[in-house]
Amino acid sequence: MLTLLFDVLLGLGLVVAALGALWSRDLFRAVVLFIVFGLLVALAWIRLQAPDVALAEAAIGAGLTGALLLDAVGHLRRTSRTEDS
Amino acid sequence: MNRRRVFTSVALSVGLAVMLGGAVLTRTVPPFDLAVDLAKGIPQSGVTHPITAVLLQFRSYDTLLEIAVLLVAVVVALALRDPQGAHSAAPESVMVDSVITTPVLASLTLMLLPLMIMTAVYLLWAGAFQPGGAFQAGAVLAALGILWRVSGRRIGPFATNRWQHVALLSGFAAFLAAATSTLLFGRPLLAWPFSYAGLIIVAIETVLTVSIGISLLGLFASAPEPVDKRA
Repeated sequence: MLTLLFDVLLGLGLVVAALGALWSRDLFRAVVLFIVFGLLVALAWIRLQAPDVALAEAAIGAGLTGALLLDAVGHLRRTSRTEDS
Repeated sequence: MNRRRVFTSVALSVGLAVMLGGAVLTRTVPPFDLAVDLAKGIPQSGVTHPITAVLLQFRSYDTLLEIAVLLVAVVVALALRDPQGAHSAAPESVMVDSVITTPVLASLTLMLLPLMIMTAVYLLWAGAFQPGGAFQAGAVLAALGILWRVSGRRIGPFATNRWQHVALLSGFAAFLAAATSTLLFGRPLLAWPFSYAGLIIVAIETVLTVSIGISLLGLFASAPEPVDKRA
């Protein structure tokens, strides 16, 4: 019962995080939600009894891709700021 | 216009959901059970963790090609790098804006350095009998490199450093050498002799860990550096 509740909440959280990442107007917010989404996907993989995939998802999907996207957001902010001034 | 786009995306989602549901409902059960076959093959693989056995023994050809794809991706990323940025005389000056320099981050990175290396080695070693392996260990190494770079320490010009090129290539080269060396002894490609299989797999995974770590870090480090027009 408790695991079912957890699974339902996890599924809902996945949808909310994905929608938030897609619809967020602020890029930084979208990236943070994307990282949250990646971590939730890793949890989902653990619930599906695939710890190998979960490890890879957490490290690459959430961690590395998140870092790359954050770097890109910072890059975009800086270029727009220098063009403004 | 906006309403039409919403309508189109809703229609597409519903169509996809119907197709997925149909596929799930009409799926046929395959006449064999892969999990059972895999469990039978584990004793011959040289490792005891089924995922590692699949990745580096039974379907190692796929993994070999995956490493090749990763290598190509990094080479393309390096090639797309801004040539001006790669050869600029004072890279530090353009880096100042993109790094966070706080004493906490700097000391934390130094403290995390041995811990993360230990975690990577543990993941690599654990891959033989429980979840873990070269990809996860390499990702931890890459994360360490990214922390190192974000906290303001230079990694060096990635596109022009010969040692980094060697490290990038080493994973695929070692894997390919191991894969083709079996041909010399009259065995099929990638068919490692049973008595050495475990040793060969661990050796390949070790080289792959370093190579994957450097590759993933290369994707990050070769991202174009900010163009600072105020300087």
